[in-house]
Amino acid sequence: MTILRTHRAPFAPLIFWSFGALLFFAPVAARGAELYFTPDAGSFQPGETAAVDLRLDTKGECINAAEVNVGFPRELMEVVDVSRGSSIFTLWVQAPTVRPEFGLISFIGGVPGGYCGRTPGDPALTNVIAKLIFRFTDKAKTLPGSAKITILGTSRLVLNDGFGTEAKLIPHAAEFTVATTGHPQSNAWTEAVKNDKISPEIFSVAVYRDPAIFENRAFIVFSTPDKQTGLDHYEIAEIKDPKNVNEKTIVWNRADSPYVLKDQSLRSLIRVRAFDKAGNVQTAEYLPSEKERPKSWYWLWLAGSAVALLAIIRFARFIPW
Amino acid sequence: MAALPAIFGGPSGALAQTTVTSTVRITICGDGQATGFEVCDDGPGMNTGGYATSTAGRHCTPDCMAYGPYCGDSILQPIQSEQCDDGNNILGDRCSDVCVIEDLPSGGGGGSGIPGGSYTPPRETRVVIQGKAYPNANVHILKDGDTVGIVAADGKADFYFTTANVTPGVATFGFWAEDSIGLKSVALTTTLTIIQGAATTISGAFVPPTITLDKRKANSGEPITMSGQSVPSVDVVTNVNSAETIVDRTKVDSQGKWKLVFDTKKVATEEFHTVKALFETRDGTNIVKSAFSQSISFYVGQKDVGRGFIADLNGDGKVNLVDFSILLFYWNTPGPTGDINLDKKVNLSDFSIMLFYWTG
Repeated sequence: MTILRTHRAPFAPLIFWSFGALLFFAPVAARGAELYFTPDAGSFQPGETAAVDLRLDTKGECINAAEVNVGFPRELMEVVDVSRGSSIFTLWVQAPTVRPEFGLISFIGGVPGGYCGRTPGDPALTNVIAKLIFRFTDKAKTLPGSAKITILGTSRLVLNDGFGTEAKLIPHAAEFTVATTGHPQSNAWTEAVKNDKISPEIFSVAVYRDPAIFENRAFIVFSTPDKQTGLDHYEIAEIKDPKNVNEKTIVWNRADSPYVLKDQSLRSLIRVRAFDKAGNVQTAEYLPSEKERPKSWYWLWLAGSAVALLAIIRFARFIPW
Repeated sequence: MAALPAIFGGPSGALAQTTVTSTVRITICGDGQATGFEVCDDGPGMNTGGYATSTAGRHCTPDCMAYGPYCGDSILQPIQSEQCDDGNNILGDRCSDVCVIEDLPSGGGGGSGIPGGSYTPPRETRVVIQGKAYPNANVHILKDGDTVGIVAADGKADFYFTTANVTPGVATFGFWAEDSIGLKSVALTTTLTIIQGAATTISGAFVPPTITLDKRKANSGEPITMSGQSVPSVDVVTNVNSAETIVDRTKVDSQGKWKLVFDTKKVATEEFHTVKALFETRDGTNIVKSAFSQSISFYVGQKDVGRGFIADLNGDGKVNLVDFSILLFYWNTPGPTGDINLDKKVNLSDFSIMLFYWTG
């Protein structure tokens, strides 16, 4: 698709320096950061699919978190998918959710350290927050029609300033014309999914226990991105007999991080698999060590008895019988 | 483990830092353009660094920092069947265009013995990060929020990190450092698109100075000592944001330490103020600046200023996925756990503060 809007890079080169790097000053941000779509206009036919990138132009600010609510006309279009594959965000408080009945897409995400705009030398614009895949419905009653996608007023951007200060947000809408002009074109998103053969990134699973949450029960944390079509979901299995794993009988359940383990004795083998939109899988495995497992009273009693016995033997040498 | 940077609560809306300075620049070894630090770049899959029989045909090395060996580089390479190398590819000057001796009876060498240069083009996708932190400091490298390496800066505060553990696509690299007294810097991040089969160099990764205050509350006229660490021999510039910005400057010593005494008479009483610092140095006529450190607030007056913001929710010295899990657990509740900015709501602002202090 053609990018119809051009955006000025937020940095302007000033000088060279001894370490060989250019110094770039971002302008003091008073204009506010912009959320915009590419493409932001075009004509589509009923049955066609559009991949619309939601992008962030920081205008010199550093943004580290966002709550985004996007409205779309449900009588003209439906959401096929929301891809986070090329997103600048790496942590998601709320993964993208679609409420078709309200014509609403919403999510909350962020990036540690913040996103401060395009880095000089970067071959790409690298400012996509999410890729929204829309299908123009063939059930539309009045055609031609105008499908306007808007960033709702409830959306918020937050500065990476350590204070959680809200940034000024300037939203830009996209507007598409829906009209029947011939045969529907091919589905670009289906092609992208078909061509994605790369699994989500390698990741690890860690077990924690904290009095502050889950009543001090053991839970696991994990997170991984997928750089192509984006992460779809996670599945978790707790395998009771780690030495005899029967792949066919493993029960997988959809879940998210953090996840409270069913086996609080921590004797099960934990497997987490991450699926991308194309169905590629990356699996992480973790077997808690003996040290991490809660001490049972039996073992405590046994250890205590052994210590007592040793002490008796040691002292017995000094006792005249 | 040292305490994480904590800042004292105040009217957060008035304390925002809005200026951003970045020295980070990206060069891609493999895009056919020699830029930045690169000496050469033959293009995608061509930087083999293998032997070449002429200067014109020489191959750039996989890191784009030099050329591989070639006939004409003035270095005799018998392993490549060179009998001589007079630094050129001219026939009839006693050393031939393919580095064979011309005025001696043939020893059986000849040009045919010179390898033709069949090399496997490198397919590795690699990222290199070069920057400055503090002398001998540990620099933590994050990729998409996860720690992927810890490297030690040298005595001049320079650090270098390289990894091939990257997948092409959008990636966020972050770097933060811990100075010799355990103060942590703010994380500097850059988000970019990684190209398959190319070596991407992120240079100019200058970690902002560390900063601490000897007190967070002072009576008017009572001095506050600001200190921290940075690159040896550069200037540290502090900005105190009050009704107007008060700029001060001091020299970093050879050990990378800096100190500045601030006169609190310069600012209004019974108010919060913030201070942040950057380093500045000259390169000829050019001025080079790092990004700003985190802002630390202090109170001038006599009121109780309360406790600081603490993003390390489980107190393990790190701000990472576990703290994020705790935040998610308390999301949309009044807290107090997870309510980092003490506004009685666990929401987007707390998430943002956590991301600011993220250590991986």
